[in-house]
Amino acid sequence: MSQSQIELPPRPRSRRRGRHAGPPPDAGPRPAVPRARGLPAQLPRASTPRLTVAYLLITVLLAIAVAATAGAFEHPWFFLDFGAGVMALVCLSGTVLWGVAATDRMILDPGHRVLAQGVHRGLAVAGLGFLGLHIWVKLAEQRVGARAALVPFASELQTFHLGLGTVAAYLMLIVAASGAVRSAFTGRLRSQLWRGLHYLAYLAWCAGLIHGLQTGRPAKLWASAVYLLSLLGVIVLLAQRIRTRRRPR
Amino acid sequence: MTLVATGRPGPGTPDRPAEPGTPRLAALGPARLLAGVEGGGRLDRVGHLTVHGTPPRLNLAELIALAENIDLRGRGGAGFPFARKLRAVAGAAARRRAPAAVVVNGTEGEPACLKDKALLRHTPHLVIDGAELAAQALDAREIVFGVTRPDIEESLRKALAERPPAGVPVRVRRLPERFVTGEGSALTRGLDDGPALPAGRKVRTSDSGLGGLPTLLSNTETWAQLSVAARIGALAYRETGLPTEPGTVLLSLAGRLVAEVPAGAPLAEVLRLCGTDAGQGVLVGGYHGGWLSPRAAAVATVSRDSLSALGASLGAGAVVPLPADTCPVGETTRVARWMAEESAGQCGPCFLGLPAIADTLEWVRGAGGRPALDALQQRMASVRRRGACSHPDGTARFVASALDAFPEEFLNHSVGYGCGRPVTGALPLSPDGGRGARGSGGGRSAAVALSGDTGRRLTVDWTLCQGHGLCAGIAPDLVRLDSDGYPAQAAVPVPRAARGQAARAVRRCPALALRITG
Repeated sequence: MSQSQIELPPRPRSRRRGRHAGPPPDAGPRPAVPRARGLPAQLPRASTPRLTVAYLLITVLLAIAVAATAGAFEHPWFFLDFGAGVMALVCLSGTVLWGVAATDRMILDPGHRVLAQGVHRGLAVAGLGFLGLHIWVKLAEQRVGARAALVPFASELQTFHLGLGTVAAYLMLIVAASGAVRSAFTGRLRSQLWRGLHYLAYLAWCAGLIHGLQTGRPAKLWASAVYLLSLLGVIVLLAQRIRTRRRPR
Repeated sequence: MTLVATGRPGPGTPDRPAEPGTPRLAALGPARLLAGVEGGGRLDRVGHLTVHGTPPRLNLAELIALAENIDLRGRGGAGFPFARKLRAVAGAAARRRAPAAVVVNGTEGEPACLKDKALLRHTPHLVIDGAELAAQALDAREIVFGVTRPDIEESLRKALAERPPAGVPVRVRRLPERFVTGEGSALTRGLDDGPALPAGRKVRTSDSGLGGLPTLLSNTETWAQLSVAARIGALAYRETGLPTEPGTVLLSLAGRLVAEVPAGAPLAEVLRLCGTDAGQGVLVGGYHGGWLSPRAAAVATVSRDSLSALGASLGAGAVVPLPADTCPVGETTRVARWMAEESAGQCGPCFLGLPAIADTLEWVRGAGGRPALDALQQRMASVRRRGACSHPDGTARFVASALDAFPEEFLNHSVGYGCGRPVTGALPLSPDGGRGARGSGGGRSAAVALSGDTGRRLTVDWTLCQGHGLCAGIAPDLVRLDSDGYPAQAAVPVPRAARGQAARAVRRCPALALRITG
């Protein structure tokens, strides 16, 4: 037996790669402590109810500040008429983007992903709030009738674009409800059902975008460009996800 | 005891096996299951009726009494009392007012196991009789045979065509040949046109199996034993074997012989039957089983009590002696590698952990020294109880038992003093280098009992978990990640103070793989 035989600690091969991005099996001597893969120190470890309330408060204050700069308090009715719908679209677009971002495992570590999920949920709540406001204002101003607002494609004016808004609102509600009761969807079949329901968000978002940009005032070019860019970004990320979805069996 | 069909041909033994790869059959003492086929060949319907006679019809109470009297146990490895299973299925069917179903597990994926395939190949009518007996007593909706080999499927179909129409419809279904196909939930899912993979949630087949019906699932040999017992009666059945374990046992010896031996037969005698001795040690219970030292093998008998006293278990009856001319470390590594490739790829700790065990074994063999041996222990600890079925546990148990049985061999290899012997492949693997097909039978499989306290627990579905690791951040008091990035424990008790954490972890898990049970 030669000396070289003793001094050969082969690094065992890692056999599988893919979406299960656990660290490769590594047989080298390692201390028994878990990997430093948890949360980075500067992030909150877990949000307690008190922290949640604090976050909510900050969000509300921030929203008020944004609304104030947009002139919500000088011309409140004007703001509600035109701003609520815009805010709903911005928030719900943000919800979709943050939701997609929260699924990433290449750049974000688990702590950041928890945070991204939090932003996703917060934006969703805010977006639904603005959506309610938007619908209420339009009804109160009698710009649409109740029937045209509730039944898709029932309005005489701008039938298609207004109808898309109604469809988007219903779909968003379904998606939001599925997200709110997410813990009822554990298990193989139910988790697939949940994904199916939650994927409706993309449909709702597209419908909402068309509705938002085509109904009412003509959209500014830069706004359309930003929305288009986000749409493209989401499509690329989704394609990436579908490509890496295939699991080895 | 008389010895039929050892090295030289006994009465009725053909000169060579019917096909290459077909194991020989033999009996130590009276042949019951193998009656009429000790020398090979296949019993057709007429031959079957000539040898065994017409099957009786029993009602449910009589069948339960019979199974209880002869203490019939599942022969797929778990050894669950058949009478209790029968009672559970009848109870569930009555409670839910649903018809029952009967499933015959003929998948037998472990390469060292041959007996179920032999029964279905040589005397299929005996197995069908047993299943029909129970199906009629339960008034079952259907009987389904799960098999993996085409020749077995053909033998069964031929046998079914030979029979007069029975009251209960019978179906034969071929499933992919994989080690875990025989696990109870994998089998029923496969037979229901789903993937033949172990389920992430543990459900009792007797409550909800085939198509959600209460299902009586048992291994091929169990049905054949039931069929024999119903014909000859409990008293005659008890004439052979031990008072505590009546009847005979089918053993698969050294991957080339299927032997019917009375329970309680000395293992040494049985090994002589296949023309070998204990060699360096005897593997009992297949690749989820353990090793007996030659000294232990000399005193062991083929019975649950004797083997459990020696720290082994009979499992599905695979017995493989390791000849003196092969390297135990190499053989263990080879089997570990094969078992890693047999992982269904559902549960991270299994499909990452088992290749890591095989890699580490190779490291030990390549003179890895103490670090390699320590790493091996750690690798084995990190797969235990972390899978939907018993495949990771069983593989770790097999490697651990090899370490116990051959400590000097492993130590010598680890410091570079190899034994110089080649690896002859004495432990059979399926010829195509993978794709075997039987996991452990019914009960031992998915139902890894979690010890201890009542109350709520946070439970991981290993088939869904993808090691995202968010739970460890959300519920730091409950979840700790192992070195592979997956939760270290399958289920953690949730104290009152951590209920919020647990609920949030369930809600936030990207794979929806967590749930609160209990």
